[in-house]
Amino acid sequence: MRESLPRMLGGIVREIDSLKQGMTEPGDMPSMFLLLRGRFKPKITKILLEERTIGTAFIIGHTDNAVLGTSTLGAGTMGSYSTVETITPNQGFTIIGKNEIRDWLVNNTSYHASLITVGNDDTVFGINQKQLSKKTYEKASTNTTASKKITMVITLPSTIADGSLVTDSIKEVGVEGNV
Amino acid sequence: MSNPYPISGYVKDKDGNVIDEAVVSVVDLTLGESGIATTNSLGEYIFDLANLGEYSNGDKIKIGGEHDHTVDTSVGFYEQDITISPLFSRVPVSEYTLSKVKDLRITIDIEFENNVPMMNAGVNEIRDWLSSGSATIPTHIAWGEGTTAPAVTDTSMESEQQRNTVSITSAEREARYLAILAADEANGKALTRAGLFNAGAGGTMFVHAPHATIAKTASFDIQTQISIFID
Repeated sequence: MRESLPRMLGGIVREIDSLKQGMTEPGDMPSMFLLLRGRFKPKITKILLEERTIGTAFIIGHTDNAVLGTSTLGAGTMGSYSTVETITPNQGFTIIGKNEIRDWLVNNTSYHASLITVGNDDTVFGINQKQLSKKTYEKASTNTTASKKITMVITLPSTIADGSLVTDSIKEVGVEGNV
Repeated sequence: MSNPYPISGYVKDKDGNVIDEAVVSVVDLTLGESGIATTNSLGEYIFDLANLGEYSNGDKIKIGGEHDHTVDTSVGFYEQDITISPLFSRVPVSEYTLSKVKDLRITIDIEFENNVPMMNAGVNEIRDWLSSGSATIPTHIAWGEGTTAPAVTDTSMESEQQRNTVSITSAEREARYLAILAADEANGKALTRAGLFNAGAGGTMFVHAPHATIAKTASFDIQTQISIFID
């Protein structure tokens, strides 16, 4: 049965009143919403590998009857560093790395970049990676800063090529936080 | 042939979440042999040291590149959970073989790209945290008048009118800061910008964002969210 027009109009008015009561109460303050966003991109811009010979700065032999590199304990010379390879990848961070920065920004537990790690796999970089493909060693880095830049440095001494690593071959370098 | 000597455990991230398909290296430094294990969907790995050969009691083992263990054949197994450190980035390099007569020095540069409304000062605050772990996060939003277009080198807001404390939430790669400019604040002002700071006065300006002019009156408030997104 069709409703009469007055009956329909009355129903619509009651429905509007009901909606208004649900949406606002007397005393509510209308709000304007402002959404703004800043963004930035961290990236690896340079990897520099350098080597130097230990020269005459070494001791070999028995701990009590050692043969010195020179005739005087504490003397000897180190070679100078020479470049092995310079890479300018201009490469972004992983998702997990970006979320680590986010965690700091929102005051959650977070770990800053304090380790340089090396590994033995040359798999291409992927933003979803969570670890070095085949991590073999990590070392706390010395970090310095300039405007919008961080420089991280570690030295792997010659003595480390004697059983401390999975292998003496390095094919990947990483930056990690230290949990 | 050596008896089985299982080395096992769970791999987790810093929040305690298990990691599947994580690669765990196991090295018998004494034998000079190595192998890998991969975690399953539960984040668990298991590796039989006997797979590396004739191990001996007292062999020095390195697990995951950082955990040390000495083989104890009287026990016959070892459990080692691993918490992986967050990986910020990694770069393949040309194969380099370590030498017993050479030191190797590795230098890595990290740089930051940003444009308005993300300020250099804010980026450098983030840089400080990333480098040393010491910096101050955003805590306040400010609103201002002014006609000068923001520049990345800005360190303060032109004609700042009001500054309020934020509440903080997050999303994937994004930090979100919300503050309200109340109905009784900044009335009669022609607001043209909002900024994100890490202090109640002064401080470092992370974001300086222009917007369409808002003629502020006492009949409304302005709920303002400023987010920082990491590309």
